Amino acid sequence: MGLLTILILIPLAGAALLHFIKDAKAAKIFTLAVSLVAFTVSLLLYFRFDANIGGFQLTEKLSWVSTQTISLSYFIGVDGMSMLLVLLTTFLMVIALIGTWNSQSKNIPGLMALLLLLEAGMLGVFCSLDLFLFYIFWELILIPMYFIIGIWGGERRVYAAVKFFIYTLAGSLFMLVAIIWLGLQAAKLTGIFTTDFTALQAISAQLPMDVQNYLFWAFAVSFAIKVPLFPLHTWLPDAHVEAPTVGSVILAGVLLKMGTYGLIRFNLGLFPQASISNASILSIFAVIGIIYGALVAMVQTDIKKLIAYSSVTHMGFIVLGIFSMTREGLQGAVIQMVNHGLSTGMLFMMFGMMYERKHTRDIAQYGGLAKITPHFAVFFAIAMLSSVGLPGLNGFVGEYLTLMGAFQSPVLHSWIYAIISSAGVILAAVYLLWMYQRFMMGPVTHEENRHIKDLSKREIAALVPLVIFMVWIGIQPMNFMKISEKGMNALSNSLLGVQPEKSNEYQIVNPSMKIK
Amino acid sequence: MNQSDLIAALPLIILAGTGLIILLWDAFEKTPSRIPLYLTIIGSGAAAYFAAVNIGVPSPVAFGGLFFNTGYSNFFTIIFSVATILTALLAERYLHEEEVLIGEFCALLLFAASGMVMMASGADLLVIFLGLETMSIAFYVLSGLFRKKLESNEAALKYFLLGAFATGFFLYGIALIYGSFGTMNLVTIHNTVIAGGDKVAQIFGSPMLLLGVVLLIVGLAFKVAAFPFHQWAPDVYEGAPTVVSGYMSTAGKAAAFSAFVLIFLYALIPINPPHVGTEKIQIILAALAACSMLYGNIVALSQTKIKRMLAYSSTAHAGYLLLGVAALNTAGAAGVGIYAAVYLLMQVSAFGIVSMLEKETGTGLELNDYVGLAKRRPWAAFMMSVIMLSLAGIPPFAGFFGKYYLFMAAISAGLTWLAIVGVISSIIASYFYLRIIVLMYFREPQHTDNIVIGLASVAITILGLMPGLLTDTAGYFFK
Repeated sequence: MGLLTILILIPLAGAALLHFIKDAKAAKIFTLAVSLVAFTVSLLLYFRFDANIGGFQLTEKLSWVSTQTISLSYFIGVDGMSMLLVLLTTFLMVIALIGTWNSQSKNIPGLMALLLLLEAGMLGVFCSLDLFLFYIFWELILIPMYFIIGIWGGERRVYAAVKFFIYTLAGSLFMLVAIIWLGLQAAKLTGIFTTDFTALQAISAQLPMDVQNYLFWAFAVSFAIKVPLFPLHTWLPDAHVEAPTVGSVILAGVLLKMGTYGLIRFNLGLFPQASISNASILSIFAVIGIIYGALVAMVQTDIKKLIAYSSVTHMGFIVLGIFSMTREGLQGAVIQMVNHGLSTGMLFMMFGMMYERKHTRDIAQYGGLAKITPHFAVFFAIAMLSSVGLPGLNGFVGEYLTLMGAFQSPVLHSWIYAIISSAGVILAAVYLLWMYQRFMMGPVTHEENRHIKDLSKREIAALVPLVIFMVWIGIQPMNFMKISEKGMNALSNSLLGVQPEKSNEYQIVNPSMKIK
Repeated sequence: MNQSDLIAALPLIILAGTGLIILLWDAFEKTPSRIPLYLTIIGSGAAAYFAAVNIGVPSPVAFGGLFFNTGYSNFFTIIFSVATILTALLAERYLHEEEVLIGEFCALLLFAASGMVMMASGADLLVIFLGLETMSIAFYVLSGLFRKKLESNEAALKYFLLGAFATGFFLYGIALIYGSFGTMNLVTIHNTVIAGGDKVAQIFGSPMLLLGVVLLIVGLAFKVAAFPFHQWAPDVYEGAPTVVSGYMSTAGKAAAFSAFVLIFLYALIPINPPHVGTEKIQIILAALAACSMLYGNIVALSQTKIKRMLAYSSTAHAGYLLLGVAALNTAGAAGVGIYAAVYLLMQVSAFGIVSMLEKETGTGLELNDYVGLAKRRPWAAFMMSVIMLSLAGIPPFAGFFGKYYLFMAAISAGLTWLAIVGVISSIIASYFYLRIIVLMYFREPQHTDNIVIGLASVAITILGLMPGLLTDTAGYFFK
């Protein structure tokens, strides 16, 4: 058994063992321990991972269903992009558990078991190299998230949970048809029905263009729902608003990345020609999402909804970066996935902390909190500025690179995408700063708010690691970007038909980042 | 009749023989006891065992070409025996509380099972017909088992009248097939079609065969409750004793599908890709499948009673199975076998849970009776969730793999549109399956449960995680 399998099995085993723990506090400590072990294992995995080698590493393959005509396998492995996302998953899980330690009281062992199940599912999604296995992990995530929203959520939790489930299921069932179809195409060419990603990658270029197009869209719709890409985003505000804090953090921090991960891995990886010919359509939706999400976020009075719509905007940048297909765009998209996980995850978590104290999401009920809770205000400002994309913090790196990618993209043929999206950066500053102003600054408008307690030591302990990474990525992005550099360069080269370069002379133009 | 014939028919003989013994025992023993139940379980277990042994015995046809002894027929014999065992186990407490004669119930259960075995093993249309009648008559009586309940009587009468009518269709269909081929033997028909030539083209071009085929489809579609021949199902499932509903909607359905596969995929259309003249048959089957899936799931959305909801969803599941038949290839046949087995576990356990809750809360058959079940009976709610998620086709449960194989068969047969219809209806279906979970877990309400359903839920999960257990065997059967 390899390290990756162990990593996926740790949370699964933890979830199973939680059946025997009835005490709430013991369940929380146990879950934290399990997620810490998982994080440690993922760090071990990172040290074994060699960023200088392209392709998939640490692969493991076991035959699962194997007859003369069908071959499905348990095939997992990581490349740079999935390595980063695996680290993000295990890291955020620990942080989210510490940060929301006291936020729930109902059936804690159940919640903890579902969270661990969710973690196993997410790790599985990022490591699967067999499409069938990928699909199973992909759907496996639905079940715990559905229960987390439905049992521990807010007032309209049932509506939000069912909407989330059916929306995602609708998309993914079409992906299932596409996976079967693709497997059968492979069977026509090679005689064996297989869903092995590497095998399919080798034959997918031989598919007729119209078949590629159908398959591309079946996958793209499924991923676009998860991202969520405008106009398929309507489940997101409901799910985020109704989910408990820990659910929102994981949903924004990791779950949405499954969509963009899928777009890079499967859409670009399997259907290059179809991706190029459809790039502009998806980019248009991404740009609309950037502007639309920002405008809708601006008028929200519900803080959680505001953050949720800001997710639509940020994920739009990632999709734009992906479909620019340039190295900068793809690398920017990958690092932005991590950034968004950190910054939006932190925003949701911090608002969750405030919600525990005040129990309202209405922004008008706050105001002037900076005087009452100075520590909270500082940390919230950092998360907010990271989300705005302030240079020196992580958000800037990702947005800058995706925009630069879109600007130079030979696929999009136009710089208009980049120009319009840049307005999204400005709008982000508008709605986030304005939110901060109404939330934290000014006079204290509600006297009862004077009794709100500042952050506890536990809460600060959960937030400090997030801030460290925000600054680290903002100042030294290459430490992280080099992990996925090899893979993304190769993908971009194969898409755009560029000859792979011999030396590794990938320079970022921005002087503040020119660190090797 | 020689020794190999006896070996081939051993499961059937055991099932029918146990039924007769119970009938005799019941006539002389006046004090109620559980012995008939134990006999049923032992008899069905033995039948399943000998069916498993029979797989791989090199005598595919017995009784002078009337009776199959193939992996396929034995696979279904095992399914029927397992269904009988599960039903008998679930029935124990249920019947005791409803004061039904256990001996009578067990004998009828076993007679129904022997009819099913005949349907799955018939190498001659008449044997299939005999099996169909044996099964149906047992079902008519079983659904009227609650003699004092009006709904039960209504269910029995309704089922009997419509069922008799459908049997007539089936018999006419056999007559017209005989008229076309000059034989009722499936092996002979199979060989004729394989040989091909002008004669086959002529037969498949004639309206007589098409009419015969349509009549056969009507007769069988009635038994599987496919749209538009499903109208009896909700009333009968609602009125019949709950464990009987579970049995009818799984084993009965599986039996009709085994006959579907024998008649269509083995005898009439054995070649892949299908020969000329079969397009119409495929379109009829595909249309039935599409309508059943959509209609069953859409109507199930608006049900407020759990048994009616399961009845309509069973029409939809008949549609999924028909999708495998309509594919007209071996993958479809394998898919039907796998899905029938998986569906059996899911549906019997679903009805098992319904029957468990039914007696406890008095009526308990409204969906609203499931509100807050997770608090009252956490294990029952958990198992029901597994079953519902599996019925909805969510991985990693077995229902997903069943659907996967059926969709794969349909897509490889070029019926991608049908697979997409199946997908759309699955999305619709997920809503009402989820609603049960919503009621059980998400709504606040104004001990270890039945071990049988526990085992079935475990099996659903294990088969989901290791589909190879089923697919390997199925691949072996259909080789």
